[in-house]
Amino acid sequence: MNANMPTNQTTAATNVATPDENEDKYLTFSLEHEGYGVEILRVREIIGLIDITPLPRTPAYVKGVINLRGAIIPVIDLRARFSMPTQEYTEETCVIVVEVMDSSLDEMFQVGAIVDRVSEVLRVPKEQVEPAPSFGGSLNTDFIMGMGKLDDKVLILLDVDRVLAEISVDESLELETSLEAQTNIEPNQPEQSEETAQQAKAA
Amino acid sequence: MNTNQVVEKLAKQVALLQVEDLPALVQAQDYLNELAEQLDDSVYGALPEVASRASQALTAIILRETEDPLETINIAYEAIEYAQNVLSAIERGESVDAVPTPGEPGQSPEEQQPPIDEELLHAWIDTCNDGLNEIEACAVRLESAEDPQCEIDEIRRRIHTFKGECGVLSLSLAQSLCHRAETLIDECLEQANHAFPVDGVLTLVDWLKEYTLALESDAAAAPPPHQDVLLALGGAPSAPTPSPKPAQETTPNSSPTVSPEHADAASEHSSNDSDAPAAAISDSPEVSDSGNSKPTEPNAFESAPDDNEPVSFPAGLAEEENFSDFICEAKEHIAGAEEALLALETTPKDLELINTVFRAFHTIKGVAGFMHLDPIVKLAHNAEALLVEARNETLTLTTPCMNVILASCDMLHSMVQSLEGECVPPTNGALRRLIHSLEAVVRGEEPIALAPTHHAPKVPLGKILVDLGLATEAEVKAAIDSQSEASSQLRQLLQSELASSVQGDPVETTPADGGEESAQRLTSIIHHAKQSDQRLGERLNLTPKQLAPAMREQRRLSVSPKKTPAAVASQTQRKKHTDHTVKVNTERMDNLVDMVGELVIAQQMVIQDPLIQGIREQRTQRNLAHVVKIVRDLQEVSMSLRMVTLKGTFQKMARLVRDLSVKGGKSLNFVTEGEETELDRNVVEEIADPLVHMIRNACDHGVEPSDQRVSAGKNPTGTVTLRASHQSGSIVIEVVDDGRGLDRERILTKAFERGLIPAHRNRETIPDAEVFNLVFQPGFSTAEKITDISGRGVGMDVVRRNIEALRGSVEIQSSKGKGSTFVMKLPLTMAIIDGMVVRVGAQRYVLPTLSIDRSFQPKNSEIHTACGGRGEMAQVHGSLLPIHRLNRLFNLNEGENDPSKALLITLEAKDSRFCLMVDEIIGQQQVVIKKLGRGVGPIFGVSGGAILGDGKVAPIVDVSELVNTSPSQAA
Repeated sequence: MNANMPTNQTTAATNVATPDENEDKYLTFSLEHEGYGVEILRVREIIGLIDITPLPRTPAYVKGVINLRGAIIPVIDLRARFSMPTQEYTEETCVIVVEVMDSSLDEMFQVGAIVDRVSEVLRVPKEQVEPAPSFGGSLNTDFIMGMGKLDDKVLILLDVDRVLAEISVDESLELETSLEAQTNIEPNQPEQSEETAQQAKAA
Repeated sequence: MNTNQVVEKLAKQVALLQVEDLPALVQAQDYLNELAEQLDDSVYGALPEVASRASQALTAIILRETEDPLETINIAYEAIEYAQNVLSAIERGESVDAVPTPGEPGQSPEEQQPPIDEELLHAWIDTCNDGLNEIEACAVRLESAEDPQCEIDEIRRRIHTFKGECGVLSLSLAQSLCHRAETLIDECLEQANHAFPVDGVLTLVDWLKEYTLALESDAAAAPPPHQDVLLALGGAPSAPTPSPKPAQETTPNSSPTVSPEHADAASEHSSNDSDAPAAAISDSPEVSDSGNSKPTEPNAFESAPDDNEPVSFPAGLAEEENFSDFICEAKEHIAGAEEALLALETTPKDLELINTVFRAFHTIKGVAGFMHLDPIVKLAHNAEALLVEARNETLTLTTPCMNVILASCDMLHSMVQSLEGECVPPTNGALRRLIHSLEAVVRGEEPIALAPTHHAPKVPLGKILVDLGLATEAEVKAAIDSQSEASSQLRQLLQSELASSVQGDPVETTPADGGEESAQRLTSIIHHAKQSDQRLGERLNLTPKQLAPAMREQRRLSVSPKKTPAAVASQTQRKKHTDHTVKVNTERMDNLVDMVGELVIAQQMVIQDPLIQGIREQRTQRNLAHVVKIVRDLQEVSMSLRMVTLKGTFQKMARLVRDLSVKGGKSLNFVTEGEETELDRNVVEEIADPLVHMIRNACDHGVEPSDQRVSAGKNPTGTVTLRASHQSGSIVIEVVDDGRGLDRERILTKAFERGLIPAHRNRETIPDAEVFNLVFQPGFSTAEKITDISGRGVGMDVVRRNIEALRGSVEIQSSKGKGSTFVMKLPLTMAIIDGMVVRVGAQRYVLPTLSIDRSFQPKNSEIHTACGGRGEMAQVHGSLLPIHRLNRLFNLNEGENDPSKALLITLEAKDSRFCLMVDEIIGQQQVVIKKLGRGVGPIFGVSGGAILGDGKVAPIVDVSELVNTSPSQAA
C-alpha cells in the first residue's frame, strides 16, 4: 500500500530505523478551510504574492508566470486546480515555490503554488499516514500521496509531482471534473477497505 | 630508388625530425639502413659505415636509451651531410676519401656556432637563479632529510632541465657538465650504499652561478674555469672508470646503443670550447650500459594477435593538463582537414588546400606524439606522408586516394573521440589496414581495399613499430616516462615565462589577463608557428642540407616566444581569416550570461525607481546613462558569446553528402547557403542529428540515379541544398533536393495499408501537408529496399522528435518529379532578440521586431469586413490583409475593440502577411528569450517569455503560430 508514498519506500516495511525516518516533515497550508501538506524537502521558498503575468489560453488554474530572480516559473492557483470557489487574494495569500520532478526528463524544476495561507511545519509519523481513500472510479486521487491523521484534524498530503508537474490542457479538464466530485465529500470520511483502494489504483 | 633519391628522402625526413616522433624516426632509420646495406664501400667510402652508425643512434633515440636525443640526432644530421658530400664528390668525379667523415675531431667542416640569442639568454638567466638555488637547497636538505629520494629526484629533474636548457642555448660546456653530474647521480642511485655526491652537485651549482653571472653581463662570456667541477664530479666515491667503446665494436643489429664516441663528438662538434675541457668531458661514461635491450623480432606484423583489440592509449591521459585542449584542437583540425579535402576534390592541385590538410595532420601528430598517443601518431604520420607526395606533385589526389585520406580523418576522429570515452576506439587491425592503404597509395599502388588478408610487400614502418611496441614495451614506457619528465618541466618553465612576457609579445590578440590560459594558448601558438615555419622552409625550396641546420635553429627558437615574431607574424598572416578564440568552460559562460541578464533587470529596476527618477541632478543622470550604456553593451557581448555559426555543422553535412554520393553511386552537388547564420550553441548541437537524417533522405530517396534523371530530362547531377536563415525570430533550416519528390499516392497506399488513415476518407481530398506528414510516423517507409543509408523509416521519426524537443517544427513541401523541401523551423531557445513591446489592455507582449513590417492606426474606411463582421481586413498599400485581434486570439477580456482607436501592426510570417491589432506600442528593446517555466506545456502563440525593465514577465508572441492555427482552433 505504501508503494504510492515515495518517502515511505525504504522504511515502510521495518520499524528499526531511527525516529527521524519514521516521520516526515510537511509544510501545511490551508485551502478553503481544509488542511493540506507538501513535503518540506520539496519546498524551495515561500514568497508573498507578486505580479503574475497571465498566459493566454491556458487552463484557469495556471495563473501565469512570475520572475523569480531572473528565472521564469509558472504559478498555479491550487484553489482553481481543485475547482474550489475563487476568492480574492488577501494579505495571507502566498506562493509556495516547490521543486517538482519532470519524470520524462528526469529533471527537477520549480513551480509556484498559490495557497490561502501557510500554516506551519508539522511532523507526521509514518504510521499515521493512510493511503488516499478511493472515491470510486470517477474520482482521481492519484495526486494525493496520503492522508495524515493528526489529533484533531486530517491533512491531505499532496504528491507535488502530480499536482503541479503533469499539467496539460487535456488532463486538467479531466481532473477538474473529477475533483468537483471530491469537494462534495468530506475528506475524513470513514475509510474504504484497503482492497477497494488497491483495486482503484490498479485500475 | 637510387642512392640519390634515398639520400634526398632521408634528408627531408631528418630535417623535419622531432625526437618525439617515433614513426618519423623509424622511417629515417629505414633509409639509413638501406644506405648502410646496399652501398659498396669501394665506391662510397665510409658512407655505409657512417649510415649504420647514424642508424644505431636513431635506434637509441627510438628506444629512449639516449640521455639527450637532440644531441644524438646530430649524428644523423652529420651522416646526411656526409652522404650528400660523398654523392656530390662522386658526381664531380673526385675521390670520396677527400670528404671528411663526421665524428673525426678537427676534420669535420667548421660549423659556425650560432650566436646566442641574448633576449632568450637573459630570460633564462632570470629563471635560472631560482632553479640553482632550489638545487642547492635540496642538496643541503638531503643530508638531513627524512625522504632523501624525494630530494634526489628533485635535484635530478632540475639538473636535467638545466641540461636541456643549456643545450637550447648552445652552452655546451655547461650542458656537458650537467650531463656528467646526472650520470654520476644515476650511478650513485644504482649502487645504493654510495653517498649522494652532494659536494659534486654543489660545486656544479656554484660554477653554474658564476657562469650565468658572467653571461648576464656579456652574452659571449667564456665559461669560468671548470676543473674544480670536473674534479668534484669525478672525485665522488662512485666515480666510474671511464670506458669509451669505439663504435666499431657494436655490430649494426645487436645492441642498439649510442656509441659514446660519436655522441660526444656530436656535442663537441657544436661546441667552440677549448680543447682541454672538451676532451676531459668526452670520456664521461655514456649510456651504453643500458644497451641490454631485447632484440627486435621483425616478423609479427601480418598476424599480430591484437588485430581485433581496440587500439590502446596510455592510461592517466585525462590528468595531462593539455589533454582537453588536445581533444578540442584535434577535432577542429580534423574538421578543417575534411573541409579542405572536400574542396580539393574540385581543385585537386590546390597547394594551399593540400597544405591545410597537411598542417592539420602534422599538428595532430605533433601533439599526439607529445602525449604518447602512438596509434594517432602512426596514422597521422602516414597520412602526412601521402600528402607530402601530393604536395610535391609526385602523386595526384585521385578519388581512391581521397577516400583513403578521408578514412584517415574518420579514424583519427574516432580515436580522438574514444579518448574522451565517447565511443570504442577502432581496432588495431583496422588501423593497420588503413596505414597499409596509405602506404600503398604513397607507393603509387591502388589503395588496399581494407582487406585484412592483404600483405603489403614491404611494411618496415608498421612492422618495426609494432615490434617495438610488443617486444620492448616496458622499456619504451620507462624511457618515455623519463623523457616526458624533462619535457614537461621545460614546458612549465616556458609557460611561466610566457605568462610573464605576454605583454611585450606581438601575439597581443589574446587578452593578457587570461593568465594561465593565455600562456597555454601561446604555447600552442608557438607550436603552430613552429609547424608553419617548417613548411616555410620547404616552400622556400631549400635543399634539405640547408634546411637541417635551419631546423636545428628553429627548434631552439621555438622555445622562446620573443624570438619568433617572424614566425608568429607569418602564422597570423596565414590565419588571418580565423579569429583568435579562447576556450571557456560552457558552464561558466552560461553562468555569466545568466548573471548579466539579472544585472540588466536589476539595473532597470534601479533606473525606473521613482525615487531615482526624481533626482534631477545632471551629474547623477549622466552617470546613470553611462551605467545603462555599459550594461547594455555587456549584455550584447555576453549574448553573442553563446552564439555560434552553423558553419561546422554544414561542413559535416558536406562530408556526408560526399560519402553518400560515393556509396550510392550518384552524382551529387551540395550547396550551402547562410552557413554564417548564428544560433545558440545548444541548438546547433541538437540539430546535427536531424540534419543528418534529412540529408540522407534527400540523397538516397530524393535524388534519383543519374540515368533516371537523364531520362526525366534533368541534369544528371542532383543538387542538394542546405539553407539557413533568420525568419521572424526563428531559425529556418531547409534541406532542398531536386529529386523525384514525395510520391503522394505511394504514401497514401501505405498509410491506408497500415491503417494510419481511416479507410473511409477520400484519397483525393486529404491535403498534401497531412499526407507528407505521414513520413514522420515511426517505421513508415515507402522504400522498396532497405539500404544501409536509409529506408527503415526510423530517420524521419528521429527528425521530428529532436526538432520538437527544441520546440521547433518540420514541414515538407514537395512536388512529384521536381523535388522536395524539408523546412525545419527552430525557435531561439536561449537567445536575445530585438523585441517590440506592445500593450493589450493591461497586458504586455513582445513581438519579434524582425517579423514586423510596419504599424499604423487605421481609418474606419480602411477596415473591411466579411461574413458578418467575423472576418476583418485592412487595406495596406493596395493589398487586403486579414486582421487578427490579439485580445481575441489570446481570449483576453480587455483591450481596445475599436480598430480605429487601436494600432495595426503588419507582420510577416512564413509566406503570409497579416495585421495584428494591439492597443499601442510601448517601445522597442532587446530582450532575453527565456523559456516559460516547465510545468506549463506549449502555449498557443507564445514562444517564450522576457523579463522587462520593471521585473515583470512579458510573453513573447510566436507570430507564425498565430496565423498557422485555423480560426476554429483559435477560438
